[in-house]
Amino acid sequence: MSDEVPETPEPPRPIHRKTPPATPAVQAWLDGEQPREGLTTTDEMETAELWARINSEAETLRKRHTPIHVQSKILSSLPDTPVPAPEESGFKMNSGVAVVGGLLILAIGAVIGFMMVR
Amino acid sequence: MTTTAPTAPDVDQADADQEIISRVLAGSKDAFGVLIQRYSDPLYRHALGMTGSPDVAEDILQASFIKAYQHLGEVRGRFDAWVFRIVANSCKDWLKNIRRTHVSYEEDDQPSSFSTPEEEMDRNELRTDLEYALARLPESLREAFVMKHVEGRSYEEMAVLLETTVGALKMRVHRAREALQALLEEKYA
Repeated sequence: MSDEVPETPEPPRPIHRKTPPATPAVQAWLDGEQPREGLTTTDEMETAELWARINSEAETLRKRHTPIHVQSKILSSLPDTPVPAPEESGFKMNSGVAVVGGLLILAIGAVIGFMMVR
Repeated sequence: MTTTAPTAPDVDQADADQEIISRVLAGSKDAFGVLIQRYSDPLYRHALGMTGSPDVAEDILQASFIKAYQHLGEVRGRFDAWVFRIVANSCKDWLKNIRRTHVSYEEDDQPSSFSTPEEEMDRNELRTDLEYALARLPESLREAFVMKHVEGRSYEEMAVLLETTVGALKMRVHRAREALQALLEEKYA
């Protein structure tokens, strides 16, 4: 008989977070729905500090432009002609057709109603 | 960052786009250059944010505009929303199909605007870590976060472009923030 102790799975370690998850107040600030001054707890202010750094980096990326050579490269690689628009089907619903259709349905309804009353 | 910069064209802009499309379809290939010039920056930023690679973003932008040109006669409604969906779908296809090796915004040769080498080093590190964390997000969360935080779009504009609701997009952005915060806080909090 083996005296080996069967391995038991290691219990999941609790996740240690340095900052608390973004609260609704932090999310609202990030969504532009309330000012940063509305964040009052220490946790919220710490989270906001982290997000200020992330947002600062995101804003840097927002200022990026298409490299200059790309636009001319795209233009020069376009085929000669675009594909023409597909043919429209024969019947097309427009406001006139809708009004006539509506009146026709009303007339039929009136006739049926008249016959039922008689 | 709390403000957003809506990039949706107003009615006049949409009409102007339609006029250009008519000219292109009538044979003026050069007129398409106006649409490229008008929309390439936001589309490039989207592709860059989604793929993390300037080279891939350029390729996606080029292929998308060519596709848009070839199918220009099929545009119904706003051109910018239509071409955005071409780019967005291309990014998703790329994310699905490509086993990524090393991609980073650092491949880019855009000029630096940092005042000191130390500041530049710090910012480059955060940028790399942010890209690393973004790459770990599910595609839909990454897309929502990039559109909101990197492209600076409003939820309303995002809803039009992605054909979904403001509420659903808020949920995605909030979940993306939670995930990114969990990934980045160990180092930066």
